[in-house]
Amino acid sequence: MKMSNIIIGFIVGVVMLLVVPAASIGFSFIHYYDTGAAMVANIEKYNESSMNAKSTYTMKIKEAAKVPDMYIEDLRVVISDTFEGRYGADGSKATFQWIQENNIPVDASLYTKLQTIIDAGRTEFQQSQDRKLEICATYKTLTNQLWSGFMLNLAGHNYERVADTCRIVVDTGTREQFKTGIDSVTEF
Amino acid sequence: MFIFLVCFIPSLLVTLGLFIWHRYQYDKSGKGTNYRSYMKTQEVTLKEFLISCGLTVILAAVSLGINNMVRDSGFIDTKYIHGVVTEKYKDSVSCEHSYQICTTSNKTTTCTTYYEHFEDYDWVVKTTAGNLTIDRVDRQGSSTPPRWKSVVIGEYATQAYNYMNYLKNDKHTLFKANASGGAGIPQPRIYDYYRFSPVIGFPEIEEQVKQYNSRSNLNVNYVVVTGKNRDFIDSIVKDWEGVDINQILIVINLEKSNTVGYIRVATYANGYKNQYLIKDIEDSSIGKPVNNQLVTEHFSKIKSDFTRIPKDEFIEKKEEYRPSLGLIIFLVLLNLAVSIVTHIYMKRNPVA
Repeated sequence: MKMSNIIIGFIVGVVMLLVVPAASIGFSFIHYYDTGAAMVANIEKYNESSMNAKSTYTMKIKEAAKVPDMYIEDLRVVISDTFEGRYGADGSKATFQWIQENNIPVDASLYTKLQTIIDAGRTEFQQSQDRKLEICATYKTLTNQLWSGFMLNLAGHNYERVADTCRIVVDTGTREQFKTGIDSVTEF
Repeated sequence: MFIFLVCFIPSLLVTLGLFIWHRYQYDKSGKGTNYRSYMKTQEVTLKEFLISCGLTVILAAVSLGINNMVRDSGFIDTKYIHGVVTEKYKDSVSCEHSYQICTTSNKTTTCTTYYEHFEDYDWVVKTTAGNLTIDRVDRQGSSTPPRWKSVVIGEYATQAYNYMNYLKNDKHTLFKANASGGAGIPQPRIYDYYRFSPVIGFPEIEEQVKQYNSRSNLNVNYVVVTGKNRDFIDSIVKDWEGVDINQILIVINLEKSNTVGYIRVATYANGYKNQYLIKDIEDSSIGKPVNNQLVTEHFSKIKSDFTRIPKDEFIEKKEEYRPSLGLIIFLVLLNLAVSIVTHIYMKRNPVA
């Protein structure tokens, strides 16, 4: 009878050692399943937000400079290239050049206002890229870590699924510089 | 969950080991021996063992809670909400001052709780930013505190509230400057119960700023300096870069004619989603005199363009938290210690 107490105790201990960790692993799975789903949704949201920043500021410039509707697609392209840094640090000049070429009148106060909008838009676009970069970095870390990575993979979340969305917009010049390790030569 | 398992498994193994070892010692001792009769008085029953097992689960869950509290405490930050005093009154509350008198007769002790007063009084000030209580000047609160007497209905009042700032301790984020600027101008804080000065260095605009803050749920702060270079202005912004979620910091360097020479505006998370507002205020203010009219212009821009960042915007930072080795060791040892002490207690005192 006394020996059976030891056996019962042993069985209870072993069952608890199996059941409690299994339950906690189950909770952990649910947590990472939900976290992964929320993070993927946010990564997509921030990707959209980058595009939205371009669209919002295109419309701000259109309204401020009273750009005719027929030029909106051209303006969108110029703004997109400006925000993405294709024209370098003085990218706003390209926008002003485009405005002049299309004979849109710009007085001094409008010039300042447009400068404000373009500067704000570029920074906002860059921050939207940074935001995506941060959440992607967190997601990548989680998928690479032992426990969270195992659980996220089990739940079907892996970094490869969002790798394309996580790619940030970098102008070709910058990409080339990082690839070659050589900055462009400044000519005087 | 890692913390839960790392606390639960060792303490359950220890509990199980102690139970088996103790039962084995008890069973192998012969009937009628002194050892057996000694052990019998200190037997751990199966029921007590099951209670110990249940306790290990509860302890591990508590440890997980402690770990989450440590994690969340790193995110707690303070924001200020401004309002005006709307009412003040004396509130009757149950007496907080009690004492016990115990008497012993026939080895039985009986304790009775007595209260010093029938009721106590709180001196409450009601504001649109939240209620507060002025300290009592006597134990019961029956005398009117002079500070409560001097509270004026309609005067500005500020209250501090905690919120979860997920950027607070993030050393790697792109949305907060982590280096200190070293300008040495501290952020304004509440003083004298509810008073708050949102303007540093230019009292002429303080009334206007207080009025706006009290109606907006925002905490707009102005720092006005004279004859400083851009580096100094930037270092103030850097010092305050952890600006609160509802805060807007405007730093102005005055020219000799009291006009704006240089201006920097900062909002939460490095101006995330508020770049247009920041650039618009900065660009439109240069060269203008600093006065109530300029402040009104700023407020009008804030009203139309300020974007409130949701408090959970950076919530994924929670997932980056990793408990320190010290905390893990502490929690594991705590669990083991409680398991062992529980076993010893049950061995000496029959519980079930």
